[in-house]
Amino acid sequence: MKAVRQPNRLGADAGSFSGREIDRGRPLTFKLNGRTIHGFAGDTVLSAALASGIVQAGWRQEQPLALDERFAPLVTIRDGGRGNGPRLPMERLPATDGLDLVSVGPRRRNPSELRAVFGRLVGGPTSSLEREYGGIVDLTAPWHDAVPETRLVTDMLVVGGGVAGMRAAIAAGSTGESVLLVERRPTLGGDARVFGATDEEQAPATLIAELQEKLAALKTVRVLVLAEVFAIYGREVRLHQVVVSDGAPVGRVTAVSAARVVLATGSFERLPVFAGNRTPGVTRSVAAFHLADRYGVWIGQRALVSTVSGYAYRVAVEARKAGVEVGRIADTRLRPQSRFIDFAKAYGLPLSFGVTPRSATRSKNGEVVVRLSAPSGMRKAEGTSVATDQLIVCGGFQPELTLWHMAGGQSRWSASDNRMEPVGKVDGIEVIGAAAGWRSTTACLASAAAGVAMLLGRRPEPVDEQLIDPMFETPDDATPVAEPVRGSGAPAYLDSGTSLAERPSAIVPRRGVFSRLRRTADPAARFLAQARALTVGDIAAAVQFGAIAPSDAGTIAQERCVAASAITVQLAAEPAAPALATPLDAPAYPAYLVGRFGTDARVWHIEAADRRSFETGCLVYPTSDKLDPTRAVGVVLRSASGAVQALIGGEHKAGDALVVRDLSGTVAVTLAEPTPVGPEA
Amino acid sequence: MADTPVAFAVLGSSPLALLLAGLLADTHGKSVWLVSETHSPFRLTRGFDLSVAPITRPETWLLLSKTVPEVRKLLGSFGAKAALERVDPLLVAETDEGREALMHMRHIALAHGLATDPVREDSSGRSFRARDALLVNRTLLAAPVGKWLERVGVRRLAADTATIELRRDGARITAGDTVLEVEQVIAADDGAILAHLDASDRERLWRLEATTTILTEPMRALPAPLTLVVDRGIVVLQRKGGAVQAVTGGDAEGLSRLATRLGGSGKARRAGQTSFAALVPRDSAPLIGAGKSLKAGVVSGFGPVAAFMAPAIARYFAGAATPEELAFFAAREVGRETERASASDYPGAISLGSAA
Repeated sequence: MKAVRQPNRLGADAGSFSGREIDRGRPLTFKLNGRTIHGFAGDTVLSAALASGIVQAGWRQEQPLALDERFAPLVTIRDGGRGNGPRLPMERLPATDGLDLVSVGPRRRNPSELRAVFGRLVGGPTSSLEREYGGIVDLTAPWHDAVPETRLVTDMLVVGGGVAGMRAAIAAGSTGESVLLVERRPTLGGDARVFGATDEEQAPATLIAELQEKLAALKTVRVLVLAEVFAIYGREVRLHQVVVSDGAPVGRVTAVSAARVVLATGSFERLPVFAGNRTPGVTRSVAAFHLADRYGVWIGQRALVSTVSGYAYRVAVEARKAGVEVGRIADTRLRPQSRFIDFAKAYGLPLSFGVTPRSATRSKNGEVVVRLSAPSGMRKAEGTSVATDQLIVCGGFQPELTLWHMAGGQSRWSASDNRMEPVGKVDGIEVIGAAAGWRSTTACLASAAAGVAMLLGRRPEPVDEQLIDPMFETPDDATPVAEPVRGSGAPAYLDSGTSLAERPSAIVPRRGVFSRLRRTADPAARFLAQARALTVGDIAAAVQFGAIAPSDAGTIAQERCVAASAITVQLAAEPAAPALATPLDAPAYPAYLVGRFGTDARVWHIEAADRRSFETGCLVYPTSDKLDPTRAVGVVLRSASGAVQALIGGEHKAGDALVVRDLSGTVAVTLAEPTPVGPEA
Repeated sequence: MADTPVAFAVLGSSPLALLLAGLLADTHGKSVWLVSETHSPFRLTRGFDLSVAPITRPETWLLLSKTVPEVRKLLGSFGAKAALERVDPLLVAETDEGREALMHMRHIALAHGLATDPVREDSSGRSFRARDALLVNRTLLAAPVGKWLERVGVRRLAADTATIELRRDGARITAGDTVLEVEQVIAADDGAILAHLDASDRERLWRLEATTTILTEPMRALPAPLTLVVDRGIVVLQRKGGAVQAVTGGDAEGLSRLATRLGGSGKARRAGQTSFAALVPRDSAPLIGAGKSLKAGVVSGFGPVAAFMAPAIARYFAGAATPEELAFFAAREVGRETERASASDYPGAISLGSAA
């Protein structure tokens, strides 16, 4: 049963999807954009907003844009009607009773009457935070440019509190190293719960509990949660943490100096590329799992699943157990095998194979209308449209390499796994776990121990990947990248983050030797026009649809996956020098004039009859008849108070007549006397 | 087994390298292989190709006055007319030395018929705007130049697959089943020189300059779409839509100066960034040829105008240079220390945003 005030909150009887981090006995309310939001202790502002039916961040190109863990506007505390407080991330801000928040960013202006009517029909104003993301919008969090308030020094910094990060922190802390473990979510454990365990592995919940216990016993390890590392320069790191002090949330930027850094940033779920893939109601399977598992939040009562992987079946089964009506699981693979598929069959979930998502739109009554390709073996025209409350999508998994790239790490495109993978070494930094491309929990844990050993100069134990035989667990398919839908109006985004990079117009491959040179003007122009820092997901998608050559992907990722920070004046660079005339007794003339007028050129004082000055650079000629610059015999070096110095080539004596060409024409001058100055050394 | 001997292998991915390879094949009838990276519009640029630069040597202007129209005609001939954009670059100098060089450059340019606006002097330095310069849009050039190279018989190897063994009398290039015996190799941009020349030669002839390219998010319109700060090594190009591509020094000072040029601290946000090493000839004179000391011919230090000199450079390597061109390049050849002293230019002219 869902509470009316929280239409997207599953009931307490929803099993594993009832929300293990919320306390239903402690309800709370706060305001967001003037609307009362109902939630529970343990909620974040984002989870409570989603539970209360706010599923849309705003609009872009007249199309609704979903509210998501990776794309949510910042919020600030309303103070006397104005939001002047600190800007904080919804997904890391604990919901607190009595908060009065307002979302930050350009507000959608002057909605047309038609849109207003549409908005009322689909519950627009109440389901949307009504931000406008068209044009030039600064989506970068302000802490990217903030001066750190505090500084921490540690032997080892572990970024990411999944099971690999936890194991790394334990391994390092056990040796006496001081360790700082940083996790952006409110609790540790990462995505292990989503992926489950194989027969030989511990259940994720048991494993996480054990790791937490060991961490708690180590006095050398300090854990920061709700803290996100957003930049890394060598082994200097910047992080932003949300803390609640005396009931008031604040953001705190900390600089961390670490002798060694472990990047356990995990993997993120790729967004299948199709028109409308960020329509409100389209949710990545891992995000859906976390919302339900942690907070009991699930959008609507009906769901459709589109996947390239067995893991989304697990989400679907858990949703079914929680009372959600799962209309169908559509798998892009033709004959997939998975233990999770067997579970889905056992629960009677309808399955179809060889099916890809083509488009998603939001209907007037708030449903998501999904267009799917025809199942394998059927003609294209037999694709189907299905209306549902939520479309759960799984586009496979990509190692999160943003910090690795920022640290100077390299990556390459793996054609066999359809993903970017880290390569090479960076001094003092190790990338481990799913971020390093490991898949099984066993391998992730082993890579953590090996990474720490490497950093401590010890011999690492080899890491063995332990995957189930493909005969029983079909490998993930490539992320679906659908052809653009003409006239749909809905963009096909390449990823779910703030880059908002879209699939550009079709790219026409060239034939022949230069086949890799493509007609790219249009996509390049569009990319540059919407230039923002890209995500690794953007790069991967662009490789898949042919905009980026696989061989270039690593370089482009390193160049374009950057911290979108402001370009600042870091040093007090001296200002432009005041415009002083060069003194006549300057000791030299510049090297670029050497030899220009012969080897016998000398510096002369020259005089015009009216004792005028000349601009530096004016050319000196023998006569005014031939002003071909190749026939110039000298050049004015400098002038001051009617005294002029010029570099003159050839045999001359005092009193010789020449002409200077300035902007007004030619002026007769006389050589006065030679000077002893020479060229610069 | 080696294929038929090849006259030239051009190493490099810059517009100069592409045009040089094509001209050697098309105009001079040579057998040419190009060893290059594929152009990607999403990669950040390491250089700009502009028909003007803070050049103080009149012979360089004289050469450009002949080759710029040739390049314009050439690009038009293979359908790349759109890749040449007309711009009015703003040339700025902040230091006394830079100001002085800027004035020399302006008067030489005026004498060669380049239109310029009056000189301005304000708190940001001394500046003037050059009129009707040409800028190569590398993205728009990529496809037509590729088609042209294919048509004129230039064959291509991907740089990351080719192994090059340089010898005094040529080179052997291997890529998979392809084995080439090459009579003459030309390293035509910084990347090629860094990848293939001996470190000792590189150290002797060039200094490395840490350089950074930055792409910004779309921002407000700048005073000029293209600005060259000639004494700070900064080039700022604002594209339609507001995004800026800029090349600057690779240290904190370079970034600070760029921030100032972009309107002050925090006025622009990064959308991309890369750092690389640019090569600057130690004697501030461009370098061409192999001399007696290098195993490969080089083209380096011609600054942002390098691509616009491609026809003359091709004639030089093909042995078809005019007497004037021969004299010009002879003074810039590797190993001719005495002549090179009279060819040194203002450092900003030879290094400004011209790495590749």
